Order: sequence, then C-alpha cells, then structure tokens
Amino acid sequence: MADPTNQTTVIGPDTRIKGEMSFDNTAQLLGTFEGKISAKGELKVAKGATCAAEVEAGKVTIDGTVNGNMVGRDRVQLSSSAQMRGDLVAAKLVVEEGAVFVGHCTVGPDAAKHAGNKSGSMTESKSGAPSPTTVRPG
Amino acid sequence: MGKQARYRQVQCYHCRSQVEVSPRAMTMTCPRCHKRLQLEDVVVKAAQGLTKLQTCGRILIEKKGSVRADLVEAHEGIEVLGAIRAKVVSGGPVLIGEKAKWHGDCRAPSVRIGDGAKIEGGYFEIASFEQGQAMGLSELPGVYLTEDRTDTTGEDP
Repeated sequence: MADPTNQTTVIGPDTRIKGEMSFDNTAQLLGTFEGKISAKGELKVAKGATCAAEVEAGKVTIDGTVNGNMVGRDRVQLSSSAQMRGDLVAAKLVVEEGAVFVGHCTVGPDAAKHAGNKSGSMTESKSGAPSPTTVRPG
Repeated sequence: MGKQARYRQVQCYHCRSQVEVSPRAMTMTCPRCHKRLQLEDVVVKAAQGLTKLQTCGRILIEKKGSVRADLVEAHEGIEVLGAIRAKVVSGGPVLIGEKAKWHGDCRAPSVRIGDGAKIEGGYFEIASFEQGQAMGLSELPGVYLTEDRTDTTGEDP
C-alpha cells in the first residue's frame, strides 16, 4: 500500500492557480501559480513552471521560475535552469552554476529560525522584483 | 608540454578599457587612464580594513582572514573561507566556504555556498553576463575579456 506521507501533490503543466495553497508533504508545481504558498514539507518548482508567490516551506527545489519572496526553513536549491527574483531566507542554500538569482539573501540556521518566527516580515518587505541598483563597480 | 599564453587580456577596473599584458606581469599601469592595476591573485590571511580591494585576478580570503571594505572586485573569482563585509563584484565564480561569514551585496555569474555558511544579508545578483544583460542587471567586470579571448584564439598578437 502507498504510504500517505510520501504522496506528492502535482499541479499539472496546463494548470493555472491564483490564491493560497498549503500542504504538509510534497508538492510539485509544473504549471503556473500566483499567490501564497505555505508548506511544512517540500515544494518543487519544475522546469517551465512559473510561481509568482510568497513561499514558505521546509525545503524548496527550483528548476523553473519564481518571482516572490521565499523562506526555506531547511534548504533551498536553485538548479541550473532556475530563475528567481525576490528576497530569500534559508537555513541552507545551494545555487547551481547557470542559475539566476536576484534579490536580498540571508542564509544560516539562525536566519531561517528568525524568519520562521516572523514570516510576516517577508511579505511586508520589498516586492519580488527589487531594483538592481545596489551593486555597481566603482 | 602546454605552451604558456603569450599574453593575457585584462580589463582595467578604473576605466573599463581592455589591456593586453604579459601573463607573468603582477602589476601594471593602465595605458588609458594611467592608474595602477593589480593583476595577480590576492590572498588575505588576516583581518584587513580597506576602502577598495581590487584585482584582475582572483581573491582568496583564508579561514583566519577577514575583509571589511566598501568594494571588493575580482575579475576571475573570489573564494571566501573566512569573513567578508563588503560590496562584492566578481567576474568569475564566488565560493563561500562552510564556515564563512558574508555580509554585503554580490554581483557574480555564479555562487557556490557551503553547508553551514552564514550570509547575513545583502542584495545578490547571480546571473551570467548574457542572462544579466537580458534582465538589465549591472555589468560583470572582466567578462568582455573572456569573449575577446575566444575571438582572438589562434591569432597572432
């Protein structure tokens, strides 16, 4: 029998969702999502998928495009095809070569705990597309 | 036996012009803006407070090293094993070690972060030159020389 704790919620490639989503285990996004995602488990954003959302999850794996602020309590992984614009707080961050990330970044076990305690602050901070003006060689 | 390259192309971090230099040169004066250029790799072994730390090569901040600066710029990459508090611009990959502490902005084509590394905030722009151009991000230093290198391969200087 299938173990219910290993079940994955799949949002198909031709699906477009607007609103709030929460789940306890694993969800895989193949289509488009707009809104807010909060999860205890793992969120996978597949290649070709688009997620314009505030995301708070235990573990996040990004192969597609994410626009929005993100809190990864355990780990955030940006694979080589990932494109992310938004502020990021994570306990551990893995950025593969070729990945695109534009936004404020805070990494460390304390950072994730802190963000978990007041996750509302992420939503109040800057939008998912901050102005790229801060880094410019002298 | 591999032949050593006859020249190395670098980009001046003052005026952004490209210059051909001997691969063994450690410093030079930019022929256009007449300012001094550091060409060799920089290794930081202790605490350093600076306004700017710039090189056309690589920067390595060792475990016991720390840098506090307004701007840190390396055209071939940066490896941080200690601590850094600066605005960082790198033309090559950035490696943040397992016990490293990072505080500041970063513009680089790629970043590798070790498990346990601490990034205490900063605005990150991680994208290759082409991706960054498409997204309208700030330029990467030294990337033109990479393109020119491939263009001029096999040509006599």
